Amino acid sequence: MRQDDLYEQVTAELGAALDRLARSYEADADKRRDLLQEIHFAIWRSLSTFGGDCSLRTWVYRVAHNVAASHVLKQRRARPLVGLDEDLPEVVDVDGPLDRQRALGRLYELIQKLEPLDREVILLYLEDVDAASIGEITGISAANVATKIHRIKKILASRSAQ
Amino acid sequence: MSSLWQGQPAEFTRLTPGRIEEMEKKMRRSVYDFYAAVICIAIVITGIAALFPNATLIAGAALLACGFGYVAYEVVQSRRNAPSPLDVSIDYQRALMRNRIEFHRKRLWLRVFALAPGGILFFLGFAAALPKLAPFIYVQLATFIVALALIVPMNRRAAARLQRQIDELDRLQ
Repeated sequence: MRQDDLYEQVTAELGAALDRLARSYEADADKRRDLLQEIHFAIWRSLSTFGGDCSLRTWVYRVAHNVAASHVLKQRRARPLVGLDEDLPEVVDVDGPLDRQRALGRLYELIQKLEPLDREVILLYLEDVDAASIGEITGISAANVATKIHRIKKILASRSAQ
Repeated sequence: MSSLWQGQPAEFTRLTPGRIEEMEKKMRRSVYDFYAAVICIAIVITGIAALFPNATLIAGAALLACGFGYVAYEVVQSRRNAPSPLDVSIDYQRALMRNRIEFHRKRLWLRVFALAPGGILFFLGFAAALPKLAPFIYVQLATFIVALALIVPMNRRAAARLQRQIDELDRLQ
């Protein structure tokens, strides 16, 4: 398949997921648009070397997360980040039931405070990517993926529900 | 939670061939802009030395221009050796942090030793060539020395922080 055809396929199948990914890495609307374009540009460039050794989805997520991680590392001076194992800020702590928009807003706040790797795992988990593929995309062991997902589920359940 | 996440309205983005061409041009232009900035600095420094001929000032300007040239070369080399986000075969995050650690470590001596002698001589020569402005120039010199002194611990801290993150990534593998 040609680079342009592959890119068409990527935008059709993963365009929405890439948009959500960019939103999770950048809260500012203008910077987010730039980041999303950078991600698309990097994916387009990378597709010329796509040989089918892994699935197209895995390839695209890896490139997209690489660009986004690079963006976070550039911006991190302005925003201190935390790991999943540390005490997370009370951004999704609520007293009453949340409506859809508020729940999403608080989920974004939580995600945007995480270290790139934790953020990558949580985003792939939310996109329904299975643990084995998350391990393949992130390069961390299956056991560590499972531990991280368990911790993520616990955080989400305790802080965003009801 | 996944349905809430995936059910949100998404903005559809697809780069057109025209936009791709624009972004390729922009990427190439950023390299030229960097070279242009370095050349402008060198022109300003040599211009000042030519306007106020003074042996110390000329020596300082020559050393400073060489120092800027060398730092620019190192920056370009570091950029060339930086891992590409397009390379999916490598562990990008770790490779990127290693590249940055290397750069932070190098900058410790690069900035101090490549720019300090020329900078100090340049300011001293400038003050000698323009005695009326000397107090103002000495304040600038003091600021320059303080900035150089601060760079060392700042770079060390940045390198240590990146090393901690790499250790954390290593632990997860």
